[in-house]
Amino acid sequence: MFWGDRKPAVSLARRLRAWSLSRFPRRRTVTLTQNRIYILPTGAGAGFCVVLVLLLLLGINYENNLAYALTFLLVSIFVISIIHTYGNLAGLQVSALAGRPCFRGDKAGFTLQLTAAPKRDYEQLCLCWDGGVSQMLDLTEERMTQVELACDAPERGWLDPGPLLVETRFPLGLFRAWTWIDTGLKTLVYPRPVSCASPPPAGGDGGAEVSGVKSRGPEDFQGLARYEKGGSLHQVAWKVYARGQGLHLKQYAGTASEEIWLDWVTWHNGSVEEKLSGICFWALEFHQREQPYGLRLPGLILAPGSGESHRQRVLKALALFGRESQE
Amino acid sequence: MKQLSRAAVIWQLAAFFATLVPHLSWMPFWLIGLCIITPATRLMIHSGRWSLPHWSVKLVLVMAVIGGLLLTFTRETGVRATVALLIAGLALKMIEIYHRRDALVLLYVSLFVSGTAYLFHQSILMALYSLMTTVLIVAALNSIYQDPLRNDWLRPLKRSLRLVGFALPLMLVLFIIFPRIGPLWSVPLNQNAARSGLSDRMAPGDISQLTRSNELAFRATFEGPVPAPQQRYWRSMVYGHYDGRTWTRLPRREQFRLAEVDLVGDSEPLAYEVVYEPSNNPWLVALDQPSAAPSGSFLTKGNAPLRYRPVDRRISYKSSALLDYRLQPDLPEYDRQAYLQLPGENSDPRSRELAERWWRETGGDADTFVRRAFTLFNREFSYTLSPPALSGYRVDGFLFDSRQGFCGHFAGALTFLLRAAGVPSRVVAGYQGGQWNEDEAYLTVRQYDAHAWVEYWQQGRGWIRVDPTAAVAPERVSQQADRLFADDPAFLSDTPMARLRFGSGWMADFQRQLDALNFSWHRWVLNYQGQQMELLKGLLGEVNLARLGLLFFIPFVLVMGVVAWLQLGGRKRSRDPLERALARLLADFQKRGHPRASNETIQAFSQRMSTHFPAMAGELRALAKCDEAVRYAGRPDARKALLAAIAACYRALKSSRAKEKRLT
Repeated sequence: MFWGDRKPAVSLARRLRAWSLSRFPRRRTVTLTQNRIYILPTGAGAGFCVVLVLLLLLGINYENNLAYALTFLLVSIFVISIIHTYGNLAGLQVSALAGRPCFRGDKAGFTLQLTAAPKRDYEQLCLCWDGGVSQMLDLTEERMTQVELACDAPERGWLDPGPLLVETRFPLGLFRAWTWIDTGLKTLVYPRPVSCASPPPAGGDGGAEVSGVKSRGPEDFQGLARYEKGGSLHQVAWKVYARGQGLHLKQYAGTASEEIWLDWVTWHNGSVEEKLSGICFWALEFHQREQPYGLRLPGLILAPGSGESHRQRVLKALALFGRESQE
Repeated sequence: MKQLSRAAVIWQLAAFFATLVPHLSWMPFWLIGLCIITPATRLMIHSGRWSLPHWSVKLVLVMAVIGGLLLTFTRETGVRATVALLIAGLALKMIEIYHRRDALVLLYVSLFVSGTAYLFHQSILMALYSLMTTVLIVAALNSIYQDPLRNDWLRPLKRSLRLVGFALPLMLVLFIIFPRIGPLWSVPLNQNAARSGLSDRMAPGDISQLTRSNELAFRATFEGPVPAPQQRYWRSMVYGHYDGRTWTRLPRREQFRLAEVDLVGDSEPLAYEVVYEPSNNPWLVALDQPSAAPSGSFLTKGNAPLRYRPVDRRISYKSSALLDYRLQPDLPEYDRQAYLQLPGENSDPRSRELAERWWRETGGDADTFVRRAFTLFNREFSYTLSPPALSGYRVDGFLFDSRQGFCGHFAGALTFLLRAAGVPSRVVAGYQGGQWNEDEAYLTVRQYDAHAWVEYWQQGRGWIRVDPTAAVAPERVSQQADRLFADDPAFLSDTPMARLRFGSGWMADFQRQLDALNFSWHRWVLNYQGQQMELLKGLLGEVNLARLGLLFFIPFVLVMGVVAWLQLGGRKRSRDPLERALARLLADFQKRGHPRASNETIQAFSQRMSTHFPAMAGELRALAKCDEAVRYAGRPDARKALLAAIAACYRALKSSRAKEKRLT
């Protein structure tokens, strides 16, 4: 049963939110004050009022002054709980620290830091991004806490989680105090890695040797080298270590000798996203194997390399492919 | 759907039981059983020993409860049935409180049910208990919004006490000023309850039944001199008709309002106020002779107060009385005839003969006639609470055979004699006397003070009150009934504990004080509507909207201010002027972008600042030096120097800022 179009209400709420957000500049750290805390009764609060009306009728009709007194006591509790609910948000300092990138379809995480005002407790604060999953937390014994708030990442590219909603219904659930904060946080969403056939040989860069990826098999194993500090743990020969013969690294043929290129032009056919997913998969794979690899996208070339920063450069390039304008 | 934490479930149980306790006195036994079984079931589920019941089990339970309610409350469709339904609902809900929404329903209904308890009990203890219940319910409400992992189970109680504690003053203000309006629609209340009190008919012996009860009849306060015990005749009903067995009210004269009654007084009327206990009857009491009808009632032609509706709850009303009066100096012929009525021609022949003989002997003077009767009563009759039963011609039997009786016998017999002699007369029933509470200045009248006396009419003088009981037992009128009857085994035989009340010593004192407290409670709380206007006038001088608004808003703002200050953590300001000045200076530096690090000493900080503000390096150096002197040398005069150094720094910082502003 639909009593009518729900859209006007939704758009009104959105307009209110937009107006509230427009009143304050985008800031990483915000202290919640009465300027930006809104408070209204909840459905449970309305139910409470119905009970109050019934009790008042009881008092009036039976001329029962104790029933009057109980009604007034509850009315007073109702009113005083406004301050309690408001106080459960006021003075709280919310800092947006950083976003954690993720792959498309996963959940991106944004780290927020909440700092309590001196001598104040905060209970059952509810944080969520617009439409996202909410998270409850208390701030009573400790003065500061960090929380990673997840956000769906349906699209590749920069992810803006939207305004942060901080709300609370504590202590009696009769009122909801809330605020919207435009944190300005954003993070990258990488293409979703999808396994596919080995990368085809990339087009040579100025006639350099053409090289694809050799599948790694036991026949490529060349021997063991003494482990040196900083060596990859992925290549440690754990079986040897387990025999008590010390840490050794497994050496494979071709690990360092040939350059690997992930090349957009020569990649398997498919849609843009499919291709990006495949490249992403292999980039991660090579990173795992600690094999240097390069990336060639239209208008962008990343020379072969390895390590965490290289991986991030590659993934960022993939995430933003075709979406540079967003940057 | 949020699930309830374990602590929250325990809180729900506590709130449920607390709500239930005041209702135990009237609940049918099976409902009490249900209220124990379902929470026990919930506890077993709570502890993981049982699983949630199948829907069919719930259905059977619901059907059984509905059947039980229908069987128990077939004839009664009033308050009890409704409250029983709510309680049964609560008990059933108890099994399946699982989610936050269930708990909300449970607690909201509990709030209402705890309010309905006032329909059954209204004592001070009940009010205090109910306050505790409210604290528990609010705590339970808080517990469902608390972090489910928190194992500090008392935390909701602390929060609840903070909420309820500050709500109390606001409640008081609302209670005082909220306008009391009459019932919006008529509601039945405890109609089946039998109440003791005067009845609309009097067979001799009826009133002696009342003396077995020490139940409170009413309390009165006077706005003038307190009438002497001999004047405390509280008129409730007039019986004009006698059928040979019982006295009843004349329908046209004593049950309806017919016309204004002619009443003249020689003195100012005495104003008083009565707090009248529920009797389920429409008649009230008024001090002889009532000159104005209490509100909501009228005066019958017999000049007795009658209410439009039965008194089904405690009421208070104001009236006034003329202690010296002439009532109806002229009586129309048809009224005179009515008050001469006697049953048949031949009843009680010996009494009629006696009356005729006396009338001849006294020469037709009613006053002498009455004195003659009094002399007879005084000499030959005895006053007792347990007279022998009468049969046949009752007046004859009393006057000539048994010669023992209670006020009803004497009043009935005297009226009979007067009528037989041709003097219009009637029996008046009500209360006489009462216990005066010196401390609180009010009169307590109990059922054992019930009394009956006689009024006869004389041309020009109107109705004259005479009390034949005073002739046979004068102490009945001059003393309190309890003193008089203290040795009579029939007195208060229904309430043996009440005899304690009349002892002396601390027990009696305590009883009196308790009674005084109860009276104030009844007057100022339970019947506040009767006091409201007077209290508001006393507080405000003149009751108008603006002043009422002030009376509401000043306390409201004060309370909310205190709550906000406590709840929002009013910054604790140091009392030490030195620390305050230092804090101000540091705050100013912070505003300029140079906060002091938490582990930084004042010396280190001023050194650091002098690099940022070279212009005030001198002041900063002085500050560091003075601080060192105070902290480590501990010289008392150094404090003054430090204060001066801080002020100098403050000024320097201000002027440097002004300079910057001028430059930009």
